[in-house]
Amino acid sequence: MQNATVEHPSRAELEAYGLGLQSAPVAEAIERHLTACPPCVRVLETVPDDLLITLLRPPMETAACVAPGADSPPRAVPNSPGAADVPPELTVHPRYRIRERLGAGGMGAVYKAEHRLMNQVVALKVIHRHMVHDAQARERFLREIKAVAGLAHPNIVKALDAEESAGLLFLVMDYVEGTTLARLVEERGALPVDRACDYVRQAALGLQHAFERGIIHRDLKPQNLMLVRPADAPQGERVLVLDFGLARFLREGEAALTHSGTALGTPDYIAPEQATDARRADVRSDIYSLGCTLYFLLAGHPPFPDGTSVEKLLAHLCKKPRPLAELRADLPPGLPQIVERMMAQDPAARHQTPGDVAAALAPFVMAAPAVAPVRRPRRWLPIAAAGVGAACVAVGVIVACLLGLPGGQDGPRGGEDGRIANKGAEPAKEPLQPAPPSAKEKAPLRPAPPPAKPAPVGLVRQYIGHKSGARSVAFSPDGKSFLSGGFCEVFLWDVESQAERRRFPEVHGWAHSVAFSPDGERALAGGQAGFVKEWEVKTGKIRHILERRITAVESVAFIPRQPYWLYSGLGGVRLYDPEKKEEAPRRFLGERASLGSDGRRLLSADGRTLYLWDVETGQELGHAEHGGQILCLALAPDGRRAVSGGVDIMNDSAILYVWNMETGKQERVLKGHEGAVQAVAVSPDGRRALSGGRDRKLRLWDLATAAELHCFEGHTDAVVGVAFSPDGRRALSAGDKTVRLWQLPEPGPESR
Amino acid sequence: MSVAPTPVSLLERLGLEPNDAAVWDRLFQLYRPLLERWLDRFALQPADRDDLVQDVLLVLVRELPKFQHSGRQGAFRKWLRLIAVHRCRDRLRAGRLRPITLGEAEFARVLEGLEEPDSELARRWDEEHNRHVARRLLDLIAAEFEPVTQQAFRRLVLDGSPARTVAVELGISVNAVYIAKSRVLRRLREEIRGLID
Repeated sequence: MQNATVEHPSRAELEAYGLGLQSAPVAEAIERHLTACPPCVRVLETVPDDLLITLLRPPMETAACVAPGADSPPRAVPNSPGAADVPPELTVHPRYRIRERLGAGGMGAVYKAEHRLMNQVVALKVIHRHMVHDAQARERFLREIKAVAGLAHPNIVKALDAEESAGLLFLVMDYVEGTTLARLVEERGALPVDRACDYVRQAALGLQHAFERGIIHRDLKPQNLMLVRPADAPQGERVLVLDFGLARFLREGEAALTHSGTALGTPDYIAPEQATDARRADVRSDIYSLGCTLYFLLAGHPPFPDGTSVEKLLAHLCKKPRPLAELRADLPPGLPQIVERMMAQDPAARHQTPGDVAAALAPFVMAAPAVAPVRRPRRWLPIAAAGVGAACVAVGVIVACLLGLPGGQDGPRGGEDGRIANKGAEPAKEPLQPAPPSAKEKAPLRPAPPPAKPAPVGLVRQYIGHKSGARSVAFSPDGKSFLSGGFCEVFLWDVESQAERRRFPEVHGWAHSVAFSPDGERALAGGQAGFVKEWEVKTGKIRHILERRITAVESVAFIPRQPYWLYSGLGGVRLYDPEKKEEAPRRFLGERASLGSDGRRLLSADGRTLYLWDVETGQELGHAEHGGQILCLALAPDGRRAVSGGVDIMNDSAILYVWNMETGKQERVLKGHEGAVQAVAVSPDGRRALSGGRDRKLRLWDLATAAELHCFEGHTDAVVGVAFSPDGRRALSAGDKTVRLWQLPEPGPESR
Repeated sequence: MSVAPTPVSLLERLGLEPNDAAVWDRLFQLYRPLLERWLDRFALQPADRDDLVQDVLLVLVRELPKFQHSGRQGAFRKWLRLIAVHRCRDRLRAGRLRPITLGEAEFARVLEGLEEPDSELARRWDEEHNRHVARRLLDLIAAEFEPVTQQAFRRLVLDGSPARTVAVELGISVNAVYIAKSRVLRRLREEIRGLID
């Protein structure tokens, strides 16, 4: 033995050594050998982890099954060589040609493949060998899959075939491209009520079809529900249920699985009776899981988000989740009761079939069927026509909008705000100078005269200090300082000296939005933990706190000349009087909001709908359907135009629109960004816009021509906050961990 | 050729030296926090919880010499899980256990689930047991190694840092990092034998 190791230990001997499996004398001999043999040390680098090492590491949360298509494997497999390789048996399969690996989960890997003769693209799910170890289990697996392959329903991913080939078990199914509901919510948060109900209703229809054929799912969860845009209805969205009938085999193979070091998925959606005895699962267990899924879509998190796996199981057994009505205010009456009933402890108290669930949810799904949403024309619908929008579009009864803005009176107020700021601004640490003359701002219809010596366009400087990332920015009215929000941080910076002048206390979670009062004396921030806080800029002292602790606050603003703050989130847009500690009775739909500079008009957005409101009366002035998800919006200070940005979740492409607020029509499409657009701003003169997004770029646009005037690069992560300086000549952008100040090109003679 | 004596695990030492207080002490250090964590989930009165933990440990002391590892996967942890379930039931019946937030019916259901060998609850419970025992035993044996060996092991295995990075950080060779990993793992395997397998 010792002689052999002096030569070179075999790979198996080295692996055993690397895992501490060799006896002491052999281990000592190998250690002596390693000291002089770098190649053998390199072999040690490739020793895969075993169970003991997996147990020592913090638990990894991994989905038990991975959808074919979008969701890539969440789990890196450290030290395991060739994990991504195609099994050799598959490379020479007579019927299928492997094209690429799509993902991997507890059960095995999923590949995109092509039928060699029929030219059909399929997804191949290859089951780990140790999952189905004995012949009997394999037999039952194949039988069950054949039964699943008999299912044919628009809401079920079709299983085409299952076979055992060269010692590998694999499952062939339709290849679908889309995104799972888990990922959708992860990316954009809780869904609007009608969409959540629509998706769950569709899944219930698929489950009902299977149930009628004696098949239950047993592992229903958002990771197993795929959202696709079907070819036969390109405008619609369809939910497909994945992985029917696989859960039982996953369970059987689990002892072996656990031993191989793969962590179990998190039990967020399991029915109580399944937790204590798997044999008691029936279709009502699927209904419980579907109820948890609906909860997840509406709340943005599973019913029992906290704790270890055991604690989650105990919660399913003994607890009620936090009532949905506490989490968001826009739930229609009756809906929380449906979720509660689906999630009843006692299976007999739930809906008894998926068909019952589908019927119960139908009234909450928008009148328009899932496959025919109103996407075009994108116009403001007069309020009276809203309920029957689709029909009105069809017969051309669109009344173009009610929003004519008289040019003079309701026009730009940037100059006025500037004057207020000058009058009221108190020096903080150093005296604040009066704002620069704002003649240009008073006359936004004319281009600004060029400065004597134009500053070079591009990065002026950056502000470094945020620990986890910078998310939101706002210039002070005099343009000499700015606020930036990050994770548990809101800072006040001096623009010229780059100095961090103040750090506002008691910020919890991400500060999604920051704002100055029109006089520049107070700062406002709102964010993730559901808070809005107001500080005195001069001293940094907290003046007022509103802690909702319900859902994240997305936007905050001071309403000029009124006692109110504006704040928005899943519960809608609200006005709050911090002195009186009371909310204004009027509320507005929308998760995100942008206020015109006069504070009279409010633009808000809710998932895919834009709304315009009269702040004073609370009246809706119009709304429009938007293509894709709206992630950011900005109303021009003069209220004439608006810009909205977002993402088309189906193909992950950028959306950036310019709206004419007088006609209510979508006026321009700004093209250039790749991936989601996450921040927009309109210049004080209303002629230009800034946008930033996942492509890490900041772009400047001319709104009248839709021309891209400049693209600023430098951020090393998505640009998530943007702002124009009060004179419109500079811009701030927040992204990665920095805030950057940019010199913009001087406005040219573009027409308005 | 002489055969080195096979080193014995914690479990084996308890069988060989049933009167060695230090060995029992290690077993208690290993299991007391786990039992406390488990029982805390039932939201018992604090005094009830401590009594119950004491109860389970006493059963361990009394019965362990008789416990024979059946050789089946997870025999020890299953045995322990059942002891805990039975002691809870006994005390519940005797009216000596008052769950604070759980109803009696719910508590009974949880105990049933823990008893059922293939239930999701029992499997997750076992997984938690394994994680706890591995981590805690690692802490308990760590003192037997040089600090640099301990650190190399933690950075490489627990944090998943690349061996080269660990080597640079600690000023040792890559080779030494892997030697640390192998030695600590070997010692841990020795000590843990019979508890998680």
